[in-house]
Amino acid sequence: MTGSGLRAEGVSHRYGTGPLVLDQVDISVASGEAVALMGPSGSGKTTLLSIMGLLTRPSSGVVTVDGDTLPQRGRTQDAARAELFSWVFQTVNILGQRTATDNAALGLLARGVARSSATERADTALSAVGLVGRNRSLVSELSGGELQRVCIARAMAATPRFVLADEPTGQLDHATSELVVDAMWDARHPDTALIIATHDPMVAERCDRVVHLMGGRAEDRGPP
Amino acid sequence: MSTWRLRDLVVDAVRNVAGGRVRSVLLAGVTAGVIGSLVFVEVSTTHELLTFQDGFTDSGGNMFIASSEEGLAAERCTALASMESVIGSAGIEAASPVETTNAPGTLFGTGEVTIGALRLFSLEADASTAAVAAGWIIGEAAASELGTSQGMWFGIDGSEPRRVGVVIDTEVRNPRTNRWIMAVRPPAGSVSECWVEFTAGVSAGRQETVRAVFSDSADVIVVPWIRLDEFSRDPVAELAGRPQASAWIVAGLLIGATAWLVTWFRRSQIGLYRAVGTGPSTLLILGSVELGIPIVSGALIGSLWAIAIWTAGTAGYPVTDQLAIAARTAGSGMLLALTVGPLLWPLTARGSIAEQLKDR
Repeated sequence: MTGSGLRAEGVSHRYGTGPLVLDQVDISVASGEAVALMGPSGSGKTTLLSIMGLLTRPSSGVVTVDGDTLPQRGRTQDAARAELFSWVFQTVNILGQRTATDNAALGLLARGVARSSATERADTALSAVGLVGRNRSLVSELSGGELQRVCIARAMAATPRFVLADEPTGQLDHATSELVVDAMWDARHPDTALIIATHDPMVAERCDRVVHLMGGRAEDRGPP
Repeated sequence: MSTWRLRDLVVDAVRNVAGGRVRSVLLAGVTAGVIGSLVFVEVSTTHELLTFQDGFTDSGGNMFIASSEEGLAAERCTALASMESVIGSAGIEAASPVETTNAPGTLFGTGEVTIGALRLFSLEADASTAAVAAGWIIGEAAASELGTSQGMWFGIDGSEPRRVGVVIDTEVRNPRTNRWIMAVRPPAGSVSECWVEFTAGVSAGRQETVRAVFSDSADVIVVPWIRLDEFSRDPVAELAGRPQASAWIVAGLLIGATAWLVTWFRRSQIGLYRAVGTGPSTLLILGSVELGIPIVSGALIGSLWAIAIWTAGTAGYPVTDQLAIAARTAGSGMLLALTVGPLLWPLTARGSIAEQLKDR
């Protein structure tokens, strides 16, 4: 089956000789769509995100964008990863001792955007996530919620086709979680699809669709 | 396929170095300590060896003497001077002792030498003076006994007086001739001895080279001219065999290992670069710049400190050869570190990015 958007087809995965974490999973995400991946811990949400975003090579199955199979290794995969995807991780992955702008501009620079332009777009994205006036701050001076918003700005500044977020509110309190989710929606380009692995019902409610993972299988449960 | 612009990549690396002060200072400090120690040991050791080598060379430590009772071809002897690695050569033909008109009753050694002998027997002699060839060459001891000097005239055994072309001090390089009265002879016919001096860096095959030139003389003997008190030392071999000559490998690996340690704690950040699409070759450039800045600056600081401490301790300045040897050893260590250190950056790109991002 082909179609526009991101698709994982017949994806199975196991770590080493362990049991199957994902078993023949099929999932598709259209441009501009927001999809919540839900399920208990260990159900394979993070693994599925990693495979769809080319961070992990699946044991079997393919990932396609607009019907084209994405490369699973090499320079073409690096390029595809840079062009198509941006990430927001549960644990804040950030360049310590660098400014918020430097961090937010990282994805743009990796795509060959000139630093002056990347800095400008990064500052715009930081403003969009509510970090006005904090762009020249070192990230070591920011709170946990602010750090996560820097990561969202980094993901959104590059206006990728797909933003993959792995438990973006997993380590935040409720009030900060709302700020972070608002930031994701506010900074998102209308054509950018969001795929969010989450336990948080508040996050799922903002999405267009919920896909539930259980026992390595995916079940599309439609709107939340 | 878009990727980092090189200039932006370098700027990012520089900012990472500036931001990660602790790891940058740690790496620079280790490099300064290792390279500084290496430079200090090199400068200290080579000072003694180079001083000895200069004395060894000045004393004729690289000279060889071929001799034959049948006689050696003077032409071949003088032609040796044009060979690679040969500083000079000269033939010498001893004659009977004589009396002079200046000091009747006192015998002096005599002989004929080719013009190259002046350079071989005395480092101060100027063999290019035309007057030398037309006059006597007098050893300094003989000149002192005769009460003569350059420009004066005298004759031997009743022959016509000749002008003293030059007085040379041969005490160090050929003490026998210091009491000789010599005349220059053309490079023809035969001589009883042929003296050859090689450059200091050449050690192997010197005797054989000289012997080969006179291989048609059955009784030719080639012996090195080495001062007896220095008989057991070969400065060139000692320089080549000094233990720290190979220490650059250990130094380079030590700095490289520190670079790996520093990089190891940044696996998740490298994973982040990978997650945004940075490929292994780009990571190698990023890592090279990030590690290169503290390694090069640390090596520079360590070297300067080592030289400053040595200079203060000895109240002398290192000579060019000392610095060149130290720079070669330390530079080799630094280059090895710069080659080994950044390799971990692309090597981390072999595993799963998702796993790498979880590393702390």
